[in-house]
Amino acid sequence: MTNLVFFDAGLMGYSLAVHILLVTIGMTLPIIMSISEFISIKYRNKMYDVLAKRLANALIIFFAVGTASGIVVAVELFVLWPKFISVLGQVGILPLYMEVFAFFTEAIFLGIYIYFWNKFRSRMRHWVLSVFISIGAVMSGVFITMINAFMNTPRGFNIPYYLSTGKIAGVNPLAVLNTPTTWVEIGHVVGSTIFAGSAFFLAFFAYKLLKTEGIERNFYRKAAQISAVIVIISIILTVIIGIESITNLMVYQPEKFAALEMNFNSGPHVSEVLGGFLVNNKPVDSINVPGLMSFLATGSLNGIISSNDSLSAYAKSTWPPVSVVHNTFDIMVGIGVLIGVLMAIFLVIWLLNVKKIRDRFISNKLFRRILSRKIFLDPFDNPLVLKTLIVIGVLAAFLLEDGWVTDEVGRQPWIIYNVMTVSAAANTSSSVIPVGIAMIAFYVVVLPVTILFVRRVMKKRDLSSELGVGQ
Amino acid sequence: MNLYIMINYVILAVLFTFLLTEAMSVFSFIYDKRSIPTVKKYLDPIWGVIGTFAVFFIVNTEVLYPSIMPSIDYLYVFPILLATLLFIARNLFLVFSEYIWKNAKFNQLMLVRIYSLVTFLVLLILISVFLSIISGMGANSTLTAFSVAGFLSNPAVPGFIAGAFLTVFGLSFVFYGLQKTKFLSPAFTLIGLLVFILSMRALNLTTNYITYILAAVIFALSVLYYLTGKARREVIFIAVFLSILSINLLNYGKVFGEKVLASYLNNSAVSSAALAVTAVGGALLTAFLLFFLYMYRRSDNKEDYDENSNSGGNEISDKIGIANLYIMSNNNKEDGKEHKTRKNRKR
Repeated sequence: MTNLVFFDAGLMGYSLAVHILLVTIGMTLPIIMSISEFISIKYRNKMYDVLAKRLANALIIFFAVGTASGIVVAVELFVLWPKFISVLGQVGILPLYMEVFAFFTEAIFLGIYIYFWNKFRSRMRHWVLSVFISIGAVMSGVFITMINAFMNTPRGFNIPYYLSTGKIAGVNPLAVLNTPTTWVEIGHVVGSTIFAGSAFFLAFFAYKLLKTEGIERNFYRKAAQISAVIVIISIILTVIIGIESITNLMVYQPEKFAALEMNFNSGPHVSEVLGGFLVNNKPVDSINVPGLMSFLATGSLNGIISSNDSLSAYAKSTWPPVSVVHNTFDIMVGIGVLIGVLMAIFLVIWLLNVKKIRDRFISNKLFRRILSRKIFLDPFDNPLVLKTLIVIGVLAAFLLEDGWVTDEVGRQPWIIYNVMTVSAAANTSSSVIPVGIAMIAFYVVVLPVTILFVRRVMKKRDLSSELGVGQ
Repeated sequence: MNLYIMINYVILAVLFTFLLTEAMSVFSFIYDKRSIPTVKKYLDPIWGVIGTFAVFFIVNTEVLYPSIMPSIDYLYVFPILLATLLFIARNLFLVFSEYIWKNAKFNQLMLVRIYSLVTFLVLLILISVFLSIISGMGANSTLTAFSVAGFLSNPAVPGFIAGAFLTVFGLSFVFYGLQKTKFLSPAFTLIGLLVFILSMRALNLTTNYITYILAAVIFALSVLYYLTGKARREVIFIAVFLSILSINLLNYGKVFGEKVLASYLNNSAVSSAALAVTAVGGALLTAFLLFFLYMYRRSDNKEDYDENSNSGGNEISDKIGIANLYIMSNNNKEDGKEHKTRKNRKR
């Protein structure tokens, strides 16, 4: 039975791990596409128009897989976790229901946007559809994150009564829309998803900039510029909200926070534990930075860490896999900081190369000296910067998965925090196994095949003829 | 009648109507390859919406009957997950068939036929699960295990499924205007309807004069098409929708044969809140779908794709979807007003 619970959790985790990659693409592509089309209309630039159309092509193909993958996750949610869905249905399913309409918005407007493109006499009206598609995609993410926030900080029913009787009472269906962690989680999830998606596309466009020349290169340069702007804005938001979400963890999920930090101490001047593993309830092979945890939590090296934020305060049976979540958390923070620094440097280089800024300061000797260095070349013409952007794209995808693992594994053994355990919620029917294995194998094939197919479709396009050059 | 159950039935009827029109596509693709442009012109813009309706029904059911979920999960976990898996394949093969390039290893015809096979299996599973849920066939008394042998032990079960598919095959001629041996349309529709209704009766599912009237209308549509060669998709859509809704309403409240659906209803405040969401979301959805229909018909009236048939490349795919955007000459004018040119207006 334990193995079946583990299998259910593994299958759900695997499906979600694939799905969030598709969501990342599905949420970011419409934004880049919408911006491209808007620029094409506003500045009457044909190249952006072609870019929007190419992205629309890619979007519909990814949407085919993404939408099916979304159905897989929705079905798995109720098939693999019947008791969870039973409680959710009676208390907090409203966001999931709302998500359906967001999903409809995306699906219907995407159909109109793509298949009836030439039926719009006003380009601006056609562009408005892309806004609806983007809103639909983002709102799907918003609503599903509300469910996740409910799982982390359940509200909207009489929990003590449920724990003692197993019956649901005192239901407030709207409470699930506004749990203490809802809005911070939404900000963090949406921000990081758009960041990862735009970083992924920026990496792709950077790769193309390294490989192409002439008009083709100019085309990818424009695409890269749009993606870069989105990356920079979203990373700033993600960092700010990420800090806020850690504070939320301390208050509302202290046990999870303690596990992420692998912290057994309380009081003033508490050390930050970096890396390491938990052996016999003690951190080993870790780096301890004295006072840093107190400083990060309170702003003072001697700030007091509450006993609630220490794993010692909780029974071991309710700890998540501490070594796993602690390290995924540290990796997430480490990579996040690294990307943040790299993107800040990128932004500086880019700003130094903006024509207006350059013209204004070019008379300054120091400015000229700085610009004469190779590293300060236009970032979209600088192979080193472009290669770094490719690395950032890969890291961003890893970061997204790592952050998600941290959040989900960090909540273990609970499916609804302090209310229902994963094992209590799971479907222990053995018939899950064969189709589950088939699903895992299928996904392994589907994602690379889709990416290769999109690549091939794009490769078949001839930019000159799309632009009408030479006709 | 309970309002919540009614809403759930309506959503189910819309979902199955869409799915059955997709089944018509499946039969058309297999039966007559010349139907591909016509069928894809209907199917390409709408396949995403059909998938979304599936999610709509699932979540609506979760909202209304959360306590039924454990039973459904234990009974149908295998077929539901299998159908979901195949559903991904359905999406993939359909979208791949749209964008497949000339001289590719898999041509468009092959891809739509694989799509057809996969989709047929999905529909087979969904109709079987639907039948088992309302009739209780195959489910054990404790609602914890499903037996395929038990399900198929009553000959009326395959009869119900075969009747549905035969009718759909008959109607596929009408829905997509298939010309190839169109005399088969009334023949298959009639046989299908007879088998279907007789199976329903054998399964102790309620039928009455409404069933016969709707069956007569559906049969008349196929006869009319055979005689005149004309048909309107909207009429077929409405007839199929009413037929499915009537099956649900005539068998109102039945679940797993003997159980009462109302006993599973969600009594918490979530139901009322969900009703408000359904009202607002449903109004928006209706408006969106009407807009979609408006745009769809607009393209139909202007024969949008005909001008491009001689533009080279794959003739079939050239006529469909956004792939077309790339072979339209002068699609993008420098001044950004490409859709206002005389030629494009005609499009």
